[in-house]
Amino acid sequence: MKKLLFLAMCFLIVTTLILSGCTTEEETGEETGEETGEEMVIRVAEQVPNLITPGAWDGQAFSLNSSIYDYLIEMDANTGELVPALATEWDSPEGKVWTFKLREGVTFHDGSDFTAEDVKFTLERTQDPEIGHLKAEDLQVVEKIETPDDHTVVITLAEAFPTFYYLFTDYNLAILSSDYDYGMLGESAPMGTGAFKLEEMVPKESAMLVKNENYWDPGLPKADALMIYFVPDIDSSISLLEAGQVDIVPQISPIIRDRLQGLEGFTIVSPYQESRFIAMAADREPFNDNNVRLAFKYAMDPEFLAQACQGVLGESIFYNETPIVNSLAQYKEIPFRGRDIERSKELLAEAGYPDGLTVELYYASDHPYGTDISQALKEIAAPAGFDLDLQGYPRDIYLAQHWMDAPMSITGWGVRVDPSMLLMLAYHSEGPWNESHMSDPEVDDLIDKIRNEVDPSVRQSHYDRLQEIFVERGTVINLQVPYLVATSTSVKDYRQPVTMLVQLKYATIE
Amino acid sequence: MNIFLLQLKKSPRAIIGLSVLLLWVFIAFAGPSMTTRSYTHMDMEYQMAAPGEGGHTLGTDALGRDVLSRIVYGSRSILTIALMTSLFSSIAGIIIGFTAGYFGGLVDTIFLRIMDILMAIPPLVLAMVILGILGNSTILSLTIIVSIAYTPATARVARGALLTCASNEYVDAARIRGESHFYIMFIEILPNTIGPVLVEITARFAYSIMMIASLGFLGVGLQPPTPDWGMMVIENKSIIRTAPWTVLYPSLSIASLVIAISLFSDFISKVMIHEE
Repeated sequence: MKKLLFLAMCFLIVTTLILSGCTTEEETGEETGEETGEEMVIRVAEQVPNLITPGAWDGQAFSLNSSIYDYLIEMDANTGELVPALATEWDSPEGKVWTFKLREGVTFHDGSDFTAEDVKFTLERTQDPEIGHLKAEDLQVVEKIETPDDHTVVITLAEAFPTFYYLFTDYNLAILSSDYDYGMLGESAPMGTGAFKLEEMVPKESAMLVKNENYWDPGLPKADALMIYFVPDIDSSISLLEAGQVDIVPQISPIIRDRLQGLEGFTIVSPYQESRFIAMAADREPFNDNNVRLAFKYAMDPEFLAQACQGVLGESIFYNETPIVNSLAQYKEIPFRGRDIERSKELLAEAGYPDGLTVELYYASDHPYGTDISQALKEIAAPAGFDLDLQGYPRDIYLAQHWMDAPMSITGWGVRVDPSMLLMLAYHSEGPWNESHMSDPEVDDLIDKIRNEVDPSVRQSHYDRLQEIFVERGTVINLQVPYLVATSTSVKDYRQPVTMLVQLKYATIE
Repeated sequence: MNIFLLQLKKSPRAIIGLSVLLLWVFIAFAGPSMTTRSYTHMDMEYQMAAPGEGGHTLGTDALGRDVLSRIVYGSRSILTIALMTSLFSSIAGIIIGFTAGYFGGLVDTIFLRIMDILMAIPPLVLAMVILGILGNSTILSLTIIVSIAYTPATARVARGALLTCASNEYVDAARIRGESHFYIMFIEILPNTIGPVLVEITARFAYSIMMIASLGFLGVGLQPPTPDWGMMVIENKSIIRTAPWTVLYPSLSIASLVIAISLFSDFISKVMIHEE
């Protein structure tokens, strides 16, 4: 019994110590960065990745992959324009036959030359069923890949696809070496043409990267080395940042942002907005009935949701009922239908739920905004008759076991520069990440037309119609939230465009 | 009972323990009438409000939820689960321990080895493994899991208590009368082992509260928005500097309840030893 008393006292003492251990502004954030002598090392704490080899990469560990690999095309983080990377030029007069001129003098980290064969290998690899490549659907349109010389690739498509080149900014289309065994070494010894090359990796723990002295862009990278720690818990990452043991922590929550903003020595960067898709599965009860989906939409209170996300609606948080984010040119502004509980109840009654209904809502409890949004949804949907049964799981478990099989879910989605990439991935009936199981012939048809249409104004008219359909009978509510990165103030020139591929080659420690 | 009350009067520690315990039981029962706010209501005008602001006596959390309401409602779930757990683990432990001790031989060996295996796994780890298999927690699943985790310890105590009584004359007399095994175990022996068993039940009650709070803290307890004291601590740890009340009050609640039960349990232990 004394042991129990001792345990209880310990609990109290630990809590007291945590509280009293709250350091003052002067005590924190001073020992950031690590520049010892000539060495400039940038230290990042990011989530523990699952599979990292491009192809089946789930979009974690951006610092690692985007530093090791290069892409044919990259995005200028400041202007948002697509700029040459491993491809110096690309062109297609009618959108069907694409010619890419490749950069000369580029070498992989193992010393081999980068040639057109590597691009061909990377693209052909997407159709390997064993890999389960996430761009397989997108690249099924490729009919023929020719390499007339070492630095030219000609890709012939089955049909016109005017925005085809945007695909090459996707994080799963990193250019791989045709001479390297990624099946064997991709997870333990990733190798590309990127600005940093792997020196040492302890899987699931850390990775040490050093400057690629032969990088094709002279003067880059600016840092000498990159130390990446894989930390399972965001609070632990923030503790490392506050202790001066790391310089960059991506994907923080707004609560942590608010806390760090009150301290000296830290900078919060919000490079772009990402989405939290509230998906309603269209192939099962109750959301197979559009009246139920509409009833849920009528119960929404965007301002309340924004406040739950510690933001302001229209400033840092945006709400819409289509998957296309408002920062893209293709976005069509459709006024919010307004919160109408009575209408919501009527629709539920028409759908056969006059007394309301219970729906399981799955989400990643350790992902920024997940818990806040789920609890806010439960609160605001209750008056209409929706009893949301919250099922929060750690992100790994959520993605592996529940995500694609949930009646309702909240999932984080990054922005695709070309929205047709996202539409193909998540809303086409054959999309590999069709989380809401949408299977609408008109939507499929419009997505296909968007991909094939050469005339931008006609393409936009398809986008407009598609967004109207999403509002009328869509399966998603899109809450746009800021992607937040915490850095020490000594970190300069942190760049991360909406492709999500962080460009640490520009970053320095001062 | 008179000796019990007499002893209680002499023990200020026990009086404090019992008073705090009864206070929490009262709060759990009278919870809805004590708080005017729902524990899920989000008051967006008062996110992370300090105690006293906007009528929130103990402040609010990041979602504007009233900390007092959540603690009050949280006391219901934690006391319910802890009480059920201590009862279930005690009943199961007594049945297993008595059966093993009474029949001895192979039955004793088999039961003891199974209990040894379960006891070799730390209760918290055992509970987490079972929860991992079953999925998200509910009050029922938590009750079952914590009961399973604590049954082996209770079974051992019950077996030991039975063995000390099994050779007494009244047991032999019952056997000669031709009473059934069930009658001998639970009518003749059990009342005479009530001391250590009662001490074990109260101890399990306190351990259960620590276990439930720990599971909540580790994120495998009750699902939000159900208020769970351990979960309140972990979900607010990011704002511990800006809104310390969100962590402090649930922590104090856990500590006060566990200490109160421990003090009272100590007292029961002393009284029973004195009686024996």
